[in-house]
Amino acid sequence: MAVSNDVRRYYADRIFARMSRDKAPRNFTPLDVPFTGRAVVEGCRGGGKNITEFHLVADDEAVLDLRVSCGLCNPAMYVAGDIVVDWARGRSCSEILALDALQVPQLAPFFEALGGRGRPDDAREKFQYALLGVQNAVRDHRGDATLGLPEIDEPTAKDWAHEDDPFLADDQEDE
Amino acid sequence: MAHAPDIAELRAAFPALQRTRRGKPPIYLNNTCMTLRPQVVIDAVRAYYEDFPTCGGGRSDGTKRLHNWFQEELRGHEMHAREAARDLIGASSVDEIVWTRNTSEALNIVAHGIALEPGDEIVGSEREHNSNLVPWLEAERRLRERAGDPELVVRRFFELDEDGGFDLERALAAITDRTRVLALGHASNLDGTIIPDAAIQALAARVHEVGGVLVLDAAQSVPHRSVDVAALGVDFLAFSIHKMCGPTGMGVLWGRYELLDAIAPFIVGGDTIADTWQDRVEYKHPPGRFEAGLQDYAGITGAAAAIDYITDTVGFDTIRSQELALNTRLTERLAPLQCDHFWLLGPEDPARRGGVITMASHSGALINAIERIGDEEANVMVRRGMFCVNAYLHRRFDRTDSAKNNLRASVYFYNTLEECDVFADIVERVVKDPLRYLDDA
Repeated sequence: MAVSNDVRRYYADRIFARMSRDKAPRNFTPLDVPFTGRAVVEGCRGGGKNITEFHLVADDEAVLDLRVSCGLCNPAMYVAGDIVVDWARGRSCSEILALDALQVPQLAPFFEALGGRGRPDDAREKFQYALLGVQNAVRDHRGDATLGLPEIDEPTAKDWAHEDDPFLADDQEDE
Repeated sequence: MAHAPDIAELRAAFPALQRTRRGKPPIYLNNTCMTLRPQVVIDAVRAYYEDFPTCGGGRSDGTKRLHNWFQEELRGHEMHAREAARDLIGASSVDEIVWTRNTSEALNIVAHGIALEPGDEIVGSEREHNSNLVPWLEAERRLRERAGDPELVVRRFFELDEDGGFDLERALAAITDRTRVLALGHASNLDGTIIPDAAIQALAARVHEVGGVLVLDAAQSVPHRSVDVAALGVDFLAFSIHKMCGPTGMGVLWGRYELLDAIAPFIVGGDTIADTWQDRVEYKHPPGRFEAGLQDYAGITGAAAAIDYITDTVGFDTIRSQELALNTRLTERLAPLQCDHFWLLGPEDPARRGGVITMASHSGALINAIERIGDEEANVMVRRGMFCVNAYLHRRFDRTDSAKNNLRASVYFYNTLEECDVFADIVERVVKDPLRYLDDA
């Protein structure tokens, strides 16, 4: 399917343009110290080698640092990995685990980081995979059993910003 | 060979090359993994099932008289196949030829069978194929368990040149009095670089001085060039028949007879034994002790046809000259495209890369686009990923997240310059405008 404009712009400006033969943005390089938690997520359809890996370093309270490595092809997966890793760095383990990846309104911070005008569904799908991956890495760090992946809806051309605005509804409930 | 065979005539012998999809023929550039098969090999495999579909077994020297029509015919084919394999690599006896499923199995037999003691060391390069790495890591694990020392270092590696070329001095320096095994890939499946014969000879001499053996993973050399085990001075050699127009799942382990006879069998059972009693077993001498159970007799029959075809109909001169011409064309087209987002692995000179050209990028999306457009528009079949040299790619490229984003095109004698141009056109299109091709990743 077509890559959404927001994902395309983020990938081009924030990832592709900053990578070369000799360098990569920090989120896509290995940790400088041994990891304490690790998880892999098959974030792209078709199976095979489309594996996104998360490595993190955490203490009892928080994730001190983490990185993502997305072998192969999908720009939306790169984008989601970059955004979710940025979000999780420095955040408490309990706060990371509290998010429900299947509740789209809870992905609002990630859409915000994506920027742009829309909330494209291709980003939604990869945010969910990335969040589940990071959460499993946290569980691995804590010595807890990692969870199997739930069913994630396939991406469509839909833009959540034009739906019934679940983000707004979520905000209202919080108030 | 009186004269070089015509490539168009050779192509006509491959049924898979006559197929079309969406009105276009295949462009098969994944020959490093597995080659296509000519009709003569397919016919040989079919002949087994149609004409003499029985079990083999019995002695490899063929002296045991059979009173069984089909078995007699099968034995004739089996003996011919073993003799063809022996002749192909310059072995001294058919009893040194062990049938395996592939190079991996052959190397496992050696790694599992060689007697090692704590303190012994295994040496390889930093770029060994997983088939020539993992069996030795397993040997290391077993020795650690025996020694009760989880930190015991058994396998050591030496670095290659910056461009992936082989450095004899580094390899020689890695061999110590503790070295019992030097396990090397003869030619790289990643970038096609080959260890020169003189270097193999020097390494063999050195490792023999210290009481070790040289194990050569020849999966990427035997199908492409003349290899003579006696001239090289190696002790074990492994290769796959399916990388040289033969049936899938056929490989060969060669070893110097006295060494084969000294190593323990890996998989045992029927046909590996001379005799058994309730409390003990006496194994056959090689090669029988390594060929457990009923074998792939169709594959063996096809292997003979494949070796005959490569040596008699095609010839290594044709293979080498065609691969060089094709890789030169690919290199001339792709090397100028190199930039911050796209580059080639291995030495610049195509003459040093056999039939292999491997592209790399930090962007999996770019690599994916080349593969996808090649498939959709021109039936191009290439290979993407880490090509079973994960350890090398991790070591070299993890810092830039580029370890996994590689695309390999590998040619064989039946490929054409026109096919190379079709592929190069697609690569050029994507590399010059990579962000245009992000969709449908």
